[in-house]
Amino acid sequence: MITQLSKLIPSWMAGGNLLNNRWIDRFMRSRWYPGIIQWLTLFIFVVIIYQLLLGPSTAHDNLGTALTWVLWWPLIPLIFLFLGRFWCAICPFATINDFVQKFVGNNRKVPHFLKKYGIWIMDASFIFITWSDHVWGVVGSPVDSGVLLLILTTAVVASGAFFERRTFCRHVCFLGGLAGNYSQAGMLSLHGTPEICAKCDMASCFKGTEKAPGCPIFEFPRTMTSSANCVLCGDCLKNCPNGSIQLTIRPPTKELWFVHKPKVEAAFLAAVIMGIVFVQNVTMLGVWGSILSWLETVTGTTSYYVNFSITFLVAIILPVSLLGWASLVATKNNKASLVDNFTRFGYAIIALDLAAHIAHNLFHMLAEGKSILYTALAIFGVDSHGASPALVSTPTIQMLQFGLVGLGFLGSLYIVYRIAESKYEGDVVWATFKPYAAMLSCLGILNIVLFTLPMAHRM
Amino acid sequence: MIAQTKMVRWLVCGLAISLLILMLPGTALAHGEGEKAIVKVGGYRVSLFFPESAKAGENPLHVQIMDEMGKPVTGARVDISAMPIEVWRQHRESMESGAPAMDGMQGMNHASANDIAGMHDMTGMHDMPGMAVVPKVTLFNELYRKMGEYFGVIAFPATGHWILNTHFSINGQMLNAAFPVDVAKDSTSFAILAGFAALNALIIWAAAVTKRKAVSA
Repeated sequence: MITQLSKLIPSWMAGGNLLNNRWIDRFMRSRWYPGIIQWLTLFIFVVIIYQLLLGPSTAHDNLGTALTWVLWWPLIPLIFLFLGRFWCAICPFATINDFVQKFVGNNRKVPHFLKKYGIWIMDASFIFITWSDHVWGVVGSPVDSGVLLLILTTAVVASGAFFERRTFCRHVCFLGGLAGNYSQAGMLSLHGTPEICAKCDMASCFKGTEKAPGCPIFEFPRTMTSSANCVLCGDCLKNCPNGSIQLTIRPPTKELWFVHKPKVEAAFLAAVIMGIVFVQNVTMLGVWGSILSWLETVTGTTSYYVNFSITFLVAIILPVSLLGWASLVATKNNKASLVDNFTRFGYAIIALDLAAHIAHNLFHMLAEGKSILYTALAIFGVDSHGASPALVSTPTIQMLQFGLVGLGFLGSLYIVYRIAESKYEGDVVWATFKPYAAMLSCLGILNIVLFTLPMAHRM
Repeated sequence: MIAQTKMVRWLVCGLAISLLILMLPGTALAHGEGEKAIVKVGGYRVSLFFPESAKAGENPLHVQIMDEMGKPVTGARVDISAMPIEVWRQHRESMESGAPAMDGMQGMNHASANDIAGMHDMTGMHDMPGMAVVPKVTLFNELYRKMGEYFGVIAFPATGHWILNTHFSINGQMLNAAFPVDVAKDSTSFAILAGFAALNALIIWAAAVTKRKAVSA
């Protein structure tokens, strides 16, 4: 007697499809997903705006400041690591975009310049917002934080009103570039099954059906090879008549081991983010005052705009130059062009970026975490002045920071090795690896040094 | 094509009007004049000056110290803390009712109430230990190239009547003065909200109009 063996389904730990779990599948296909979470985040967003503009005027007492800069901002890189761009699916800006579009949307095509230069706009706006935070003190001023959110809201309303799908999220949002980079290092991946998609000529995942609209971020799961622009909204899952969509867990940074179509702007942003993490750390250190005094002597001006801008520029140029130097050295060994090396291996910095970014924000979250509770209690008249906002001790936070930077450094090294291994053979692999390893060592050591110094609180 | 041109024209007009609306509150604030309070203490003439009227939140504040000859005093240590007037009065009463003298109070010169315009029966005092609310003390730095002028940012968590406890240390001599400040409600936030609401409403209206035209065409 011959018994037919059922097809083996790998467990979710071994890269199996999470949608094989009927609860996850049912939840993601339901009309409540992701709407129920979207409306919740929108409600919190309204509370934040109200608090920022009409609540206590000092950052220390403002719940909006605490929720935005002590909870949301530190959580963002963690969400990208564990859940990819899921935040973008539940972001209140996306909800506002869809809401406006539903009633007055003109659904015009995305302008050509946005398609072509959108990622540079994202990079530039991210750099500008970080710079402006320092020179205008956006984080430290509830009203300024509120104005920033209202400017973004207005841009989203305009985008939803005139352009199709989520044009703002895909081509303009200042977090888009960072989200794309980090989610490629993330552990959650949604993709089509190539064998099933190859036989499909409906493309309902992109076009949409009566069940759900087409992909809001203009992705086509059939050809999608990266998680950079998948927000895990589940629309393609609802639309696909063939059950092609898979949701899988993968080791962190796996996608970066071989990027199908590396982009120079993404590599550039990876280096820039490293510089921004340096700036964020340096300006919160006790020695920042001494650095500023020294700069005032050198530049001959006390203008904070001038002196901070110089610091900012140096911090950004440093990792970009290091990447450029490593790429230049590597060209002598692997015979690739400088731009090709810069683009391909720039992705390796993302792991260290993510680790350093989380490590920096860990300080705010763990050393100031209780301020969320205190500021919320203050609304009901409970005074918590004088109480420590720390959740854990500073040495504990430092140990976690060192551990994270160490993991990020190893992750980056491994990415360089895998990229080199996939592209070259024999001695060329190690000859290409060495300059990038030196670059990553410099960046890693600099991060460790900065995390050893005491930092100032945000609240 | 014509419809598109019209839409762009509408949009530009709308944005220009909205920007004007947004700029209005800023313009109004720019005309607001600051306040200057002067007190003579220990032979020095101390001036406090808010570049703009004090409001809830962070406020830049300048302090100028002159000696008897009218020369600017450099190298002084200046620190200031803000305290609600009710709290300040309670502490003053507790001090008058026989509270033990605080360290550093002996030999201290007190600002006379009569020295400050609009002030009645006020004496300088230090922040007291054991207070229900410990005010944040802000250290003022001497301004580069402006001798005798000190600068800092004072935060008022709420509107109302406040006292600025100002402490000076000049050549080892400790001086102390209290300045009353009326902190007004900041109406900027409402103006900002109204401005953005108007701008967003305009965008939505423009989109609704152009959508209707596109459908009818």
